[in-house]
Amino acid sequence: MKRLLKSKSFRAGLVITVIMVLVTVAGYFFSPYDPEYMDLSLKFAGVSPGHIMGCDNFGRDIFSRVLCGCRTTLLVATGTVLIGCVGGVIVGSLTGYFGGVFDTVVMRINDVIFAFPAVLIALVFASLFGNGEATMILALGIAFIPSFARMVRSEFIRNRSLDYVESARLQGAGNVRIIFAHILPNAWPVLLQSVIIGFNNAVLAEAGLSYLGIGVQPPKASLGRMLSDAQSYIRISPGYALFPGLVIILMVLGLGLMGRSSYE
Amino acid sequence: MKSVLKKFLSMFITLFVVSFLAFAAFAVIPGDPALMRLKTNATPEAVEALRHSYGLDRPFLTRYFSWVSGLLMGDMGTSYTYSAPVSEIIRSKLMVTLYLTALAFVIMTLISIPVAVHCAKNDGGLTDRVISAVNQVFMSVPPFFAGIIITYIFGIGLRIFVPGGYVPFEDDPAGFIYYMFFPAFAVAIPKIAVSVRLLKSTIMKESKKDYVRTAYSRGERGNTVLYRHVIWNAMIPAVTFYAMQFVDMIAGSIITEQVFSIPGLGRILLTSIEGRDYPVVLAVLMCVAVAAVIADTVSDLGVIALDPRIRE
Amino acid sequence: MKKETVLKRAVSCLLAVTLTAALCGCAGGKKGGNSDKFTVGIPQDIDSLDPHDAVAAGTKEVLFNLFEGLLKPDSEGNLIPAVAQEMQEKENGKVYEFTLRSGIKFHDGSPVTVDDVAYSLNKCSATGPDGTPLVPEFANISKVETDEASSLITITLKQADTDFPAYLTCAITPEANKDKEDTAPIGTGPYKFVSYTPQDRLVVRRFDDYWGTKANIENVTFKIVPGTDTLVTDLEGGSIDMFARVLSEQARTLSENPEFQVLEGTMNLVQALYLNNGREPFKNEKVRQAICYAVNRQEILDYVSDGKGTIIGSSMYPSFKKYYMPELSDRYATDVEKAKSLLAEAGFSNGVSFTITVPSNYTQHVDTALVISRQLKEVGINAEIKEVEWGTWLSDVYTARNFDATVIGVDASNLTASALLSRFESKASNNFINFSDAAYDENYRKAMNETDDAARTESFKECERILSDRAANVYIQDLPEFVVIRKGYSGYRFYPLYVQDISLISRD
Repeated sequence: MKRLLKSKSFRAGLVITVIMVLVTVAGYFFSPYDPEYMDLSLKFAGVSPGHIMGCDNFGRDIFSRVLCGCRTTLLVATGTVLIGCVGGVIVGSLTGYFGGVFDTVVMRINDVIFAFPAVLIALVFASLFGNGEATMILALGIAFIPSFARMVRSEFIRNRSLDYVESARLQGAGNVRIIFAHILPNAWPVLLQSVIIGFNNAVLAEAGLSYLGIGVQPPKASLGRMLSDAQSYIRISPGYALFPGLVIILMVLGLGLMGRSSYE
Repeated sequence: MKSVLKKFLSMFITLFVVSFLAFAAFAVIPGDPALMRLKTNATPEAVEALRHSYGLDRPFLTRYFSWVSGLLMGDMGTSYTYSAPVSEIIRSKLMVTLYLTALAFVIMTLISIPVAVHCAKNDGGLTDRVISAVNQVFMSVPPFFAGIIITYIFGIGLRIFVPGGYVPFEDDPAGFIYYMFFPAFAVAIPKIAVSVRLLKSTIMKESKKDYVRTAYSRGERGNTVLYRHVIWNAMIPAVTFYAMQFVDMIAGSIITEQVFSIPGLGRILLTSIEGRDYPVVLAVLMCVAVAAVIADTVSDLGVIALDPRIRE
Repeated sequence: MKKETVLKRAVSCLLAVTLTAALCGCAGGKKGGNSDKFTVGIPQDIDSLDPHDAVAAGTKEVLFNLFEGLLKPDSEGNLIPAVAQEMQEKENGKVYEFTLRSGIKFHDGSPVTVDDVAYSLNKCSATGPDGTPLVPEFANISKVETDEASSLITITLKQADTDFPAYLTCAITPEANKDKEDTAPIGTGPYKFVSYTPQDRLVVRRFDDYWGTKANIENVTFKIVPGTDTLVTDLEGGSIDMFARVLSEQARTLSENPEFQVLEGTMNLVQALYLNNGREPFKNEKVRQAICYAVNRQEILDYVSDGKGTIIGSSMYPSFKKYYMPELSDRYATDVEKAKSLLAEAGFSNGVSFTITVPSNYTQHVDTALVISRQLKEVGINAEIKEVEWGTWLSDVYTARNFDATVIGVDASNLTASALLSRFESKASNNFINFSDAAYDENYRKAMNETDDAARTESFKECERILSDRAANVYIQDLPEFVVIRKGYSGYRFYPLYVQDISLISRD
């Protein structure tokens, strides 16, 4: 940990992430305006001391909506990546480590999910469980498992015949121990890349699904949704797209910087 | 060779499971292709008649097996929306997406390999640090957002390409590549960042290994060692990575197609899911699944070809 | 050593190829706005090239340029002779006699014959397996007779119908092209078919033997631009020259661009908060009226369409000049107190909750729902919004009628009042709001059986009045339609139906 704190990029990442989390948490207790309050006179109002990010097409305060949107987006993205990552690690490590028929069968199932469009999974889930964030997280999380699983599996295949695994085995370490204590830490850099990319994709997928009416329902704000709504208004109100976009970049960047330093 | 055969066999099984699940998915979700075509001016009788002509009034399993048997005979069915053979519709869309992905892949490879080699050689240098910082930011930019920004900078600001000015490859290959360059670039950006990072770290890891030191001690020059041994060996994990990136890029292309309004596989997949045009959706699924399996196989073969240890 | 050179050579080769290709492409880059080429952006793909088979409004508005019926609508909402030169109504609307236009030709150069007319009419009145013809109103045709020598076509109806000519806009196509109508269609319109690429474009060329005023621009491409997000960049980038129905904000952006002109018309839709009259709390007329009073229509217009648009008060829009009743627009002027007291009278003084289901692909309807939900809060009504995908909306809301309230725009498929009013008859199969009113049914029947035009119009107007008084729905507006055309082109005209008449456009 001390070593980590010495790294500049880790500190930068930590600062960004802490700020983002603080802002998100603060958004629970405080926001300058009601994020759903509409004011005709403020339609597309520019940046001003009262509205530091301006207002959207309904005259709603963009800053308040970004605060509220961070919460939604963090929840959806974290939930999705968590399901995808945990699922992927379990599937990928077991198949990669043991191989054989088990590997073939599970990886084919994996292929099946991979080939299945996330949109279709989400539509099916929405019709079974109704619209909502939970449905979206579940659907996206499942859709994300295969890519994590592949990544982890190839790392395991690469590592399982390496010397250090052999020596661990000779020392009498069990399979579970080898998988989780020996190989997994080595797969960490690759996994971390996937987590960051996955996080990014989850934010986007959330916006895409909102377009189909699945997931976050208006007037509730989410960053992805704001970004896609703002596309039509980018000339009139560039800030509408820019601020949520920047916040997404910051979120991912903070994680990325921290992640990078932790294995370098 | 046996493993390739096995792969294709399991590919077919995968495809059938996928197609069955997709068929089942359409049975679960609300929406009716006949209604989608007739919209709000529909009378219940007209909808019923259209359902009949689509064969939708038959039981689920009958429909599925008639579709599968058609597929085995090489007939992908007829699109509900376009009243045209699915194979015809898919072929052109598939080519568009493949061209886009291939172009993005070429861009990624061309940029990432030299940059990664450079960074590995000058690890910790000024350029390396700058590139690494830029990389980190690029990795955090959603492709969607990258698309919008590229459109505005190059399309509207500098006016060096025409947003939405897509021309089919058959009509004008040069125009096609010219138009596709920026969308492909948008697809490639995050991938370049990831790939530089991965290549650099594998090259560095590789160059710390004993055989490299031995080579140096034998008196071989730095560059020779680098190109002759290190990069080649570093390519083994990279091949798996690149093959997966290719499949990933197909998915990325699908999003980017929306931003740049390119009529490829992504657009037809979304519109046919929305329009409940199962024959088309199933055909697209088959294409994506085949691409995934091929990439998988290629990466396995690539690893075998590059790594003498596995070859033996 | 060897590997190094191979790798280097391969990389430099690839680099050279890409660069060359990119540079060649630069030289070949095109710019829109050529005098003989005009590209119109359309939001949806063509659903069929066969005019009789096409059902989407977005397809019909394009095919209008390729096909004509015996009659066709003009921009004033009148029916004018097209393939027919003359029409005679006989026996109080029971028999219609048409004289074929002399010398009229199909796109392939062959003359139009009375047999082709009979073929087309019969194709549209042929009954499907369900017993309804392609054009449902053609069920009323008893027989079609032709006389080659005098170029006469006589249509005899089972029942007199003075609205019948409005249905005769259905396309006349040559019998000889029977098998290729959906791949290489032939008609008599000002433009002829050249090529079609699904999801991409439809290319047409001017028909030089057209019987009427010939089109001005020779080559027209209809380019499919799904999703309005990329629209502005497509226009500014030059890949399209015209787009109908842009969003109001996009219209505002483009009107500031000196390269474009923005024309404003109406979309010819009845946009309303449609209430499921068969469900609580909307079974109660007072609740429906309370919502009508609680909604501030002008504010909706200001939010959703920059203050443009026409406030309406019943299921009729202004382009139907004959039937439209502007006085109904302020039947329910915003009055929060009145809304509250009506709710109290209805026994809902503690407030009402319901869900507004909206199709997520229609931004204007979603935005309208958002504003309405906000306004209803002020009278203690909690309206939650549920977005659904269009396919789900059609089957759940429209067909299964499983909804509380929805915001949607309803359009007319032809130039008759019944196109908009028939659905509110208690037993109509497309009465998705479950409206049921004896007086309405009575007046509607009266109108349909009436042959005197003035009395008929009066009965239709009475129907509109009933819809308004009974607060069948919360009528909002006919949305504004913004058409963007590159400067240097003129002649665009708005039609009261879903039509884009490109033949009128010319280059200055």
